Amino acid sequence: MTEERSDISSAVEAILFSSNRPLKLRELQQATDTDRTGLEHALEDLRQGLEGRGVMLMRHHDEVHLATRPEFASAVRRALRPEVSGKLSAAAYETLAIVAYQQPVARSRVEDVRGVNCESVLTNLELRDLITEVGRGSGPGQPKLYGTTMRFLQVLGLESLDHLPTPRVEGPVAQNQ
Amino acid sequence: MDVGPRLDVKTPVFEGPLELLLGLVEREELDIFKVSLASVTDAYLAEVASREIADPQEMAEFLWMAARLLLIKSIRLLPGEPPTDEETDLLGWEEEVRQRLEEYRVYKAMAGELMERAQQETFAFPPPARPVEAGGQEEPLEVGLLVVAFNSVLARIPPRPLVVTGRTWTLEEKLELISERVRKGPIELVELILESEDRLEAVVTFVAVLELLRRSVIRVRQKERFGPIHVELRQDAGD
Repeated sequence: MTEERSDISSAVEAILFSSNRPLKLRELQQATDTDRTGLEHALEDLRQGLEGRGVMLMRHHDEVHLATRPEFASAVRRALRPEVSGKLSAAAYETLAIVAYQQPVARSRVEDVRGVNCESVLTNLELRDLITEVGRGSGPGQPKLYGTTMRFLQVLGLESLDHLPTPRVEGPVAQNQ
Repeated sequence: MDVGPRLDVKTPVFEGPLELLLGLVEREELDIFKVSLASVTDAYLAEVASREIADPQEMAEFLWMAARLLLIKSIRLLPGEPPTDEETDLLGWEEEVRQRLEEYRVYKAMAGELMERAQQETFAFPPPARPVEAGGQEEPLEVGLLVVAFNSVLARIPPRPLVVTGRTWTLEEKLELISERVRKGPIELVELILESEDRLEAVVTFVAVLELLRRSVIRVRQKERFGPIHVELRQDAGD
């Protein structure tokens, strides 16, 4: 780790600490006058530097932010008594799981898996900022494609989408013939 | 407290034919890929018959699946005959349903894991610490503004197209639930209303909020026009 890279990493930490919103990698590159590779190294340094600390580096696609580690959520709650976020229904969790693992995904695909109309559930998740439109499909009518948001990671206390639990495909069902 | 343990009788609510089918397969501990779906036909018919399905389109979806299950069952009951084209199609359909059930089962399990995670208080708080400062906010809101906010949320909750549920909320239940929740910390009004499964529940929730306001149990605040509306316990309302 070079001296210079460590400076960039600290600068990124300072920016994220003082920002009330996630920052795009591009914004951080401009602010620290670094190229993409340099920034990625700096982010990795920061991520490692924060291991074992109360906050962590959270990354969702090309956005990064700092957040408290989920292990300390109850301590933060006791100290600040923050708002309790709304509970989701079982249908909402199913829909959220499909979006999270299949993103970007169109409504029709979600409905294929669940076998029911999912319009209202998707709208509800969108209003709660847990999912968002991330693009348009190429099919007829260019359907809206959904993906997760940074808030989704916050609510589940995940550092990034790579930290989503792995789907368990085994179980009571035999996969072989 | 004179509130004894409440007997919670819950019948599972199935949102569609697929979920019902999966529920039955799991209840009977059947292996989706080893047994014919026809073996749950009787259970499926019994479940559909015992449910009140108001939505005709939804009823049609349940019945369509029932018809196919019956057909498969009849084919299996009459062995020996070489299958006709139509029957071959039907067996292909069964295979497809098995695949869909398996996929749905995996996502249902993932949903369960996400739910478990969310319930373990795993929230990762971003800076700034929290948007709500209990003190120092503007004066309490007028009820008129609350109604405006409620109507705008209600308009965004589409009527649920598929509802198979007997669950109704009484005002008393909601009053208790919301009082309990604000005791743990402030709640955002729109979030609270969005928890509703349908518009009726949203209305009951809102009426309960108004009633708690009237009883001076809670207080509502809003920092800026059209901003989030925070519902919190009144400090002087006992504790």
